[in-house]
Amino acid sequence: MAEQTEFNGGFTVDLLTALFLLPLPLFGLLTPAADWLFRTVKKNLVPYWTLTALLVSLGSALVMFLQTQRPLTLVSGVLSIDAFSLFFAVIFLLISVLVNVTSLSYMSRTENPLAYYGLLLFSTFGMILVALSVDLVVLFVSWELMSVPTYVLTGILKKDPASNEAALKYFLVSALSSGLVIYAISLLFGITKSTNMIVIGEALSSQNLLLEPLTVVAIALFIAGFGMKVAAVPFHMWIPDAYEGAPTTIAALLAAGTKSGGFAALIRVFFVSLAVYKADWSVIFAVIALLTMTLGNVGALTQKSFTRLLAYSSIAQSGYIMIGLAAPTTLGVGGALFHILNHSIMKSAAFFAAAAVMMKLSTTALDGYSGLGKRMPHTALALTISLLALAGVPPLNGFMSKLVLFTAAMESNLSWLALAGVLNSAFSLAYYGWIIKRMYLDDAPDMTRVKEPRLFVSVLAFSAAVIILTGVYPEPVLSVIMMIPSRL
Amino acid sequence: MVGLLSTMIFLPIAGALLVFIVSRVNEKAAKVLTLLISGATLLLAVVIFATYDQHQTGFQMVETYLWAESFGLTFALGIDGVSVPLLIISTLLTTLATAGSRREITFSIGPYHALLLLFEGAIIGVFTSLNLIQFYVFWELVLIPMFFFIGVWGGPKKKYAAMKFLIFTHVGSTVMLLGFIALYAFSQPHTFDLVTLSNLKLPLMLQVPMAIAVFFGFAVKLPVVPFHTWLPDAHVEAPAPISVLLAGLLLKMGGYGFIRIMLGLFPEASRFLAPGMIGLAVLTMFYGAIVAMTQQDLKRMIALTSINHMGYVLLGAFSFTTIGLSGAVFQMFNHACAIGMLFLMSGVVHQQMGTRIIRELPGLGRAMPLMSFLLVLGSLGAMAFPCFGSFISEYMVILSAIRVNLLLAAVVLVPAITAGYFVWMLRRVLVTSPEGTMARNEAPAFELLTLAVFLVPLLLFGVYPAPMLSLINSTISGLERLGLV
Repeated sequence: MAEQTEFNGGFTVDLLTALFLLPLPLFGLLTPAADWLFRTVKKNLVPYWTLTALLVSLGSALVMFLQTQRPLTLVSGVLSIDAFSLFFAVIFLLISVLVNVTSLSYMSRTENPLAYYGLLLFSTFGMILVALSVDLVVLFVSWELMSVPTYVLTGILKKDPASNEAALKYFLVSALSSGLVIYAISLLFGITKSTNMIVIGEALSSQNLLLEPLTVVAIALFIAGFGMKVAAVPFHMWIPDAYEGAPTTIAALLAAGTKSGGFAALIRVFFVSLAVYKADWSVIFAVIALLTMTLGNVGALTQKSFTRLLAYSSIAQSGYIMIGLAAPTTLGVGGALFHILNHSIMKSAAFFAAAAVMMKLSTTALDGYSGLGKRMPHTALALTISLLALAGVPPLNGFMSKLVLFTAAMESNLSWLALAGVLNSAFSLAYYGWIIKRMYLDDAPDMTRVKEPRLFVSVLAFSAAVIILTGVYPEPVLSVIMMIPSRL
Repeated sequence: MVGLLSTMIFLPIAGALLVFIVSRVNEKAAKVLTLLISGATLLLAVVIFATYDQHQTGFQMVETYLWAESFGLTFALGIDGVSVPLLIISTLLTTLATAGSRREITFSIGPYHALLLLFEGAIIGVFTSLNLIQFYVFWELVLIPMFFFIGVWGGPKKKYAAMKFLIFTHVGSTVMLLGFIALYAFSQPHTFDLVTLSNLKLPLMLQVPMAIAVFFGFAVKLPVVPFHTWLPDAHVEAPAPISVLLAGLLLKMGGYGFIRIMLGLFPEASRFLAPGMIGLAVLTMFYGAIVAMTQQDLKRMIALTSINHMGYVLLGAFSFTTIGLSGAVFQMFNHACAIGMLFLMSGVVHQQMGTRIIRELPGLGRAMPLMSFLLVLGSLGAMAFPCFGSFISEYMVILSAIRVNLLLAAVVLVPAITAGYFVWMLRRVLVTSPEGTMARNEAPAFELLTLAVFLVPLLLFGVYPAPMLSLINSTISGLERLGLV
């Protein structure tokens, strides 16, 4: 059924790949034209336009991902459509679909839908390209394509000073980190005379395993540059402000989308190009994981704003994911990938619940969540499920991925890290449990039932179902994920 | 073809959802449905008891299902002489707690009964799991309904008690999880399967830290002094039927964990740690008894009695004798019946008399004669009076303690102290004349009947313990690796 077409660029494209890669940039570029066309029919069909693009792309990505016999497709030697990249593409597209759907409700009164939804498409496309890249320069360009729209999206609420401040902080820190990344890339190019990750990997491994000073600098710069995006301590400072100030649906995109994108880049670069120095950088990641987990959990404890609490919680969750990098075995990487998937779903669900509460109760303060169990029961239930999953309570999906990660740490002789992980997990139930306690055991001054936005309820129900199902019966997802590390 | 054990777990869990849906239409029907489902599981438990093959050691009725093979996890269930008594009390106590909730719970009936069934399924899962991670999943799953039971339907300090309960038990559980993960990492080939791991012979140096890690999980649950501080608040603030489940079942999870996992998987380390464990057990027994004596609130007194009684389980288990270990398991069974009855009674008394403070209850004998009769019987059961099963189990444990070290004969003082404060309570409540006249205010027949049912296994196995003891013994005598005397 696949239609092969020869292009002059020297690569073949079949229908599925085209349906996967083309809709996003095409629809994105054509958004203004489409909007002008739609206005004659009905105002504001732009969200549905972008949603179509995302759904088509997601569908093809899923089909391609599940075709386990699919041969590796190398596009011009710079993009690789393999299990790893498709896994991440599915995550990015799913999150973007959910953001798009909830934004229909949440951002229905935005002044500039064109900018919002168009940039969402471009950012998602950038994320996908990041996961697809096997060339460092292409990676960098995709990285920027992923990030720049999100700066604007963070600050899209023009009249909200918190949003503006968040966007500016995010932009400045991100720009600096991009500079570090490109410097690292140039250093690696200087050492190995290539920007292709696979070639670099081979070149470095043939250099008698001596750690050249410049390579050390490159590794450090990569950790700093990528680390900023994935909330590694001490490059995490922008996150609480950005997640709190951005519109809550965009916070979901940042926490679940760009963070996963950062991890995609991190894993690809470190496991393909820098694999030969595994013993060295895994130790660094172990320490960073410990610091990140602990700082995130301790920071979350004292927060009075729910979105800020979620931001610190995200930092902690990145710490758990990095355990997989500290124990770089198949189990470790598999666990990291599994937790990236689970975290995207759990965290975005939590942010969507926060968005629903923001819409109806106009508050993101924790005090506003008192009595939510009676006022917005469906939202409260879905939020409870996602918070318990984040805490790692069985039989939800967060527990499963944390289990794999801690086991991987144990097997790699990092029992101290596993202990820290377990204790951090237990500790995190304190603040997650506190929110649940507020929702169900506390009363608000006004206990009237609030009508819950239907779109949000469906998105939250979907997320909750995935969280429970993946936790109770993880085998389908787990077996697919465990095959990825070997194919990196 | 679904096995008997998986039915016992998933019938209540599925039933929970059904009960919740039914409760939106008709609350009374939901209550009856809950009673029917827990009654059905009780019947299944009795069937298991009756059909148990005492000539086989090892696990029976084993069922395995595929779960997460990529990570080496299979869903495995099985029972043996240690878990069968616990299955009986799990199902019996849930049924009786449901019956006892009739007048106690007045709002959110649907969620309450749904959570009851969820709790039942989870705890049966704990007692039948043959895979460590599966065990952990059910172990943690038990926490969730209990948190809501205490926090939503509890007494004045319910929120504090619920959070304290949650944090304490969760931290203990996660340290236990670490022990499990360590065991997995050091087993060749890597596995979480209980049966395989019990045949693994790890060096003592590795066993001891892992044993200490899992110890924390069980020490919080049993509870072992000094990890017990969550218990008085949780038991007192929880509604009476929930206290039945807390004291009757949740605490047994700790005891079961000590026997199944600490003794079963780390026998050499347990022997090494035995002196310390026995010391903690004696401390728990005396502490529980002495503090219970000073209580003014009937319910709090009963809660602290639980600590005292569960100390016997630890003592019996770590004395490394057949009689001690059998006594420990039997004690768990008896204590559940006795304490369940007492807690439910405290709830009924509170409802009828409006107070639980002992000094305000004189004249109970005149106001509630039938209830007082049951109170006397229940107290006799709790203080291990002969003819009650608890006499036999406590006697077995003390005997085994003496076999370990003659000085441990001092623990005979504990049942004496227990008898002391129970009789003192009975005297203050029943014998002392009240001020003024007491109108007859008897509890409803349904509640009295529910309470009487608790006495059935307690008296039955008190007079004729052979069926239960031989069942327990058939497994314990087969545990060669423990080297029981």
